[in-house]
Amino acid sequence: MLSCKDISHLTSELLDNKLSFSMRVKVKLHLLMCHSCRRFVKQMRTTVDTIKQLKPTKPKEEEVNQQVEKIMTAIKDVDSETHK
Amino acid sequence: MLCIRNFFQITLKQQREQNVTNILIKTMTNYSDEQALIQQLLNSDEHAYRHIVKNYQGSMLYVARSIVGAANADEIVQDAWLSVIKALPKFEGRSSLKTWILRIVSNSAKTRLRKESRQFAAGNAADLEVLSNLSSEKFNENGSWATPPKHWDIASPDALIASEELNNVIRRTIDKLPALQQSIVTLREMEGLGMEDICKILEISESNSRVLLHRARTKIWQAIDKHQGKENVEL
Repeated sequence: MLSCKDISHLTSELLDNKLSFSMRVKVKLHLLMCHSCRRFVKQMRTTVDTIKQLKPTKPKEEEVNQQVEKIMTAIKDVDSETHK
Repeated sequence: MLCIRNFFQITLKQQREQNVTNILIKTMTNYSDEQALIQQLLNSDEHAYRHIVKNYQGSMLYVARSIVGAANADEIVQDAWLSVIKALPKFEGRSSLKTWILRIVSNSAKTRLRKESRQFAAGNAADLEVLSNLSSEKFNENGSWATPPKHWDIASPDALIASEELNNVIRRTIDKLPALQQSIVTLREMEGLGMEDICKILEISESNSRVLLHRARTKIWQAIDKHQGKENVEL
């Protein structure tokens, strides 16, 4: 019989469908009987779905401009080395 | 005479329309076709480079920080861009462009570590030291909840995203995760890369990456949970 602590360790694998069939059955049995773990799994699912909706932080416009400038200069250098 | 004038007017109009169409195509394109993007990069198109800097540079920094630490990450990314420029004509498309670029970052970072005789595995072990940060405080000796998860007033992803405070709490928590956890959660959840690619980029085993992903998710859950209780979130 799995404990609540075991369930907390297995939650990500449950959400990512990485549990074996027998382990999945054991987890589901525990969840049938344990309100707290059902709530935990549900909240972890919400957490994961929320992170997925967050957009990655993008560099600032000024940083992009500087980086692109460096790249364009590097391309010219590489081209001139190639043509030597 | 009138005929010639009409001819020039029509030609000029067509040229203007063509120019507008070209500008629109260039502005609107989101490079959904990766081949088109690669071709533009091979043509040294500044617009295409701007696109990949905007969309890839953040992930490149995460990967570099995971391997060499924050201090040298910028330098590694600059080395990686130079390698990308030189190696792009040889890119065979066996992975996505993004995965290929992130592997170049990873290789540049590991080369740096070798030169400095440092080992990447050290960071890994530190990150994996404690398998679950919920263990000690949340559970009784028999493994049942000592403090069961409480009800969340804001309980859907849309509502969590819409709440400016919770949105900030989540972002701050991600920013403060150990570098390797930060890379995995960003590449996997926010950028949608496959676990197999992430393991190759960061050179970690799948089981380790799963442990790190679970730890990152648990920390973010804890931060949201604390905030739902209106307590000060200690990050």
